[in-house]
Amino acid sequence: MRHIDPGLQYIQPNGELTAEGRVVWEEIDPQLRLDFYRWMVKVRLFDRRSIVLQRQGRIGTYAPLEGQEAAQVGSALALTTLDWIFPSYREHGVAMIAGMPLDRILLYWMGRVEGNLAPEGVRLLPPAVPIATQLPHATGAAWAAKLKQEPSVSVAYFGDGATSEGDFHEALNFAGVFNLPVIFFCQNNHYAISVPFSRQSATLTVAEKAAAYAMDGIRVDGNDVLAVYDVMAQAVQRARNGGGPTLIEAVTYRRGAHTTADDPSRYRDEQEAQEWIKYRDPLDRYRKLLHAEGMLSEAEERLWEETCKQELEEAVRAAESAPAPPASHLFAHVFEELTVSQRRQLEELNRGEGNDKDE
Amino acid sequence: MAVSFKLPDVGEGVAEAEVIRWLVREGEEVSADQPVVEVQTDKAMVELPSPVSGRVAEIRWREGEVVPVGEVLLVIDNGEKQGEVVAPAVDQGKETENKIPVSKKEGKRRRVPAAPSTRRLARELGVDINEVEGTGPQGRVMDEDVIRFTQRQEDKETEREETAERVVIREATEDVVSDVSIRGGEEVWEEPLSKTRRVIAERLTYSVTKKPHVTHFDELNVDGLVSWREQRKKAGQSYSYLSFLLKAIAVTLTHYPTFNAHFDEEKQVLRRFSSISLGMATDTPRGLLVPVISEVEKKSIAQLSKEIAELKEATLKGTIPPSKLRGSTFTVSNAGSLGGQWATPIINPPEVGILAIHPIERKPVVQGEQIVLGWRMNVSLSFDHRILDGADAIRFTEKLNTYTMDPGQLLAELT
Repeated sequence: MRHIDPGLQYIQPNGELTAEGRVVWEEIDPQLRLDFYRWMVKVRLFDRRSIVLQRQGRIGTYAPLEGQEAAQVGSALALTTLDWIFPSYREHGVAMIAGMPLDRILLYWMGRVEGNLAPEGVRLLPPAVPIATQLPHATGAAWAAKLKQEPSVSVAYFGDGATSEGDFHEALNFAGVFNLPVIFFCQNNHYAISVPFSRQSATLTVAEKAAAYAMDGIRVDGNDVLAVYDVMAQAVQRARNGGGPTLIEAVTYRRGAHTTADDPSRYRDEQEAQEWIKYRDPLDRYRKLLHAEGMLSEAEERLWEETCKQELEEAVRAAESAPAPPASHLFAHVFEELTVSQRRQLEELNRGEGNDKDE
Repeated sequence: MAVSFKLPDVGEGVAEAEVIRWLVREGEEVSADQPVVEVQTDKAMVELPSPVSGRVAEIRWREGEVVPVGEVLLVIDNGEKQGEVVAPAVDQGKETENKIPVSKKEGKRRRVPAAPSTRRLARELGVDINEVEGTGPQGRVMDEDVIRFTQRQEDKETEREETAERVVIREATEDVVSDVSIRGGEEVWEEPLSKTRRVIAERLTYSVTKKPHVTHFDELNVDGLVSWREQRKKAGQSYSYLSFLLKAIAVTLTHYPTFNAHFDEEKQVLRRFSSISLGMATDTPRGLLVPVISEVEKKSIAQLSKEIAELKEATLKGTIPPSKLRGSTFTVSNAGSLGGQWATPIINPPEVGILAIHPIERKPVVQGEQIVLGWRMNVSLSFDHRILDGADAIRFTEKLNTYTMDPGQLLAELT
């Protein structure tokens, strides 16, 4: 796999900018350069904290994203509040940037329905756990925007595994035919749980599949936050100006497990994992660049990490002190009209039967 | 006050986990989020972090015991007279009952892996799927296994009828099944394999059934190595033979890189590595473990000597982290300290070769017209014959011989 083109790269793994990268770097707002760093650190610390919470039984199964921070942060920072986001279950970084409060993200992983609800004005949908179902949703929202002549762009986030699903084809096909303002952002982390990409796809890349739908397909180094941002910003621009959909493949790697329930050492080569962790980490690379540019000191790093940790602890406290959900939640959010047996169960519940001993 | 830490469902619907290793002892102070125990579920080995800071008041389960999800693993005294709620999954106070560690192992049976359709087939045929031996990946029970099982049951029944008066002539395959009843009144002990032993059993079975093994034997001249070590000793430096041999093996591997590789059965590709990570098969109270020394090609003999000693100690004590037991690209089995002359080592999959090294001994050797004493060491090199041939193995041990005979040769090649 290693000899395939790694995709567009501006920041090399050693932290140095390419000539092209230097041009883009000079063009962007200096504040954005710091934002890249700050968000990536916050996302990583959130991720690590969540794994500990899961191991302590304080949240349920959790999908870690460490290693994919650049792909999420770079792409999400290229969006505006006009745009609609259709995430999968690993996009906590994207959710935070879109404006989802941290405690609400935690509530989701505690199995609370409140964790699905974005605050007013945040155009973020609940994570799609079934694979690839959010792609047609994004296409549909983009079609609506086009019909209503709104300037919003839709973005579907998904993994390489989703490209093996029928929904992927349908969503891209429709978007291509109707030239819709939608971006299909694939984080190719090489494994659909345990199935390597080579067993999911006969093409070597995701990006080349775009040709079948007559849209632009771009492969980018997903661990290079600057390149991801630039590619995404251009795709958003194009979509807003009526230029149609784009398929972006951000090549990345999750450092840990698919979720807290599996053991990647059983299906991934340890040497391969170490190579990504040691030499291709998105945050290490970006930190090196900022140090070289004189934009970040060790002391500032510690300070920011401390700030994030405090914010995280507050979020954990807030999520854990949320009042317990009423038992009626069991019936509230799936069926518009309850079935006969569900109605009976609800009545039993209301009469106080079947409550567990704690109440 | 006492905070009880219950075993959470760490793996999306797992019912239990085995305690592999306690990382703390009763009476020890722990800080919040500090790992306290390693447990193994059906899916993964995980470290559980303490939910609070405090003193470990009580450990309720022994290593090797299987704990149901929701049971109290340990109790931590957080030093507060009365505390706020720390975590929803953590019960505060009022934990007095059930203080004695109880083993719940008896009568336990693991759920065998199988597709839902296969389970249905088994139900329809009236077969208890847990009794069927799976031939699929990781012991998964396939449709054919269920059908074969029913046929065998039928065969057994017919056989029983037919042989009422005759001596039963068993099929060769049945001979391997140990039958307790034939032991008469003698005492017989039955025990389940430990988790470590089960993993060893699975991996070895996988290796010998998948990999066509061939073992090449050779006697190495180690005169140079022995005198080199003596000289170092006189100079006040003590190196183990193993540290020198690992270095020499690493240099040999750079000459024959096909040995430093994994064979991916699924993709049918050979994956060669630029860096050399040597597994050291080690005899421990828990069974055979293989701690790994990475980047051997970059390390000095002095460094290797130190690292070997540390790893050995950690392995024997059981404090070795799981990460140090993974990622080897070639394995060395050091039987030298135990004895023996030759072995047919089984390859550590997905690797393609394993070298057993035997004791260094004085032996009579023919020199010209005379018999003189020389230092010799036997080696046994098993290799995956799909990837490598006998000639490769001979070249390998001959190259290694040039270094053990004359360490100066190794020095000349060190980078």
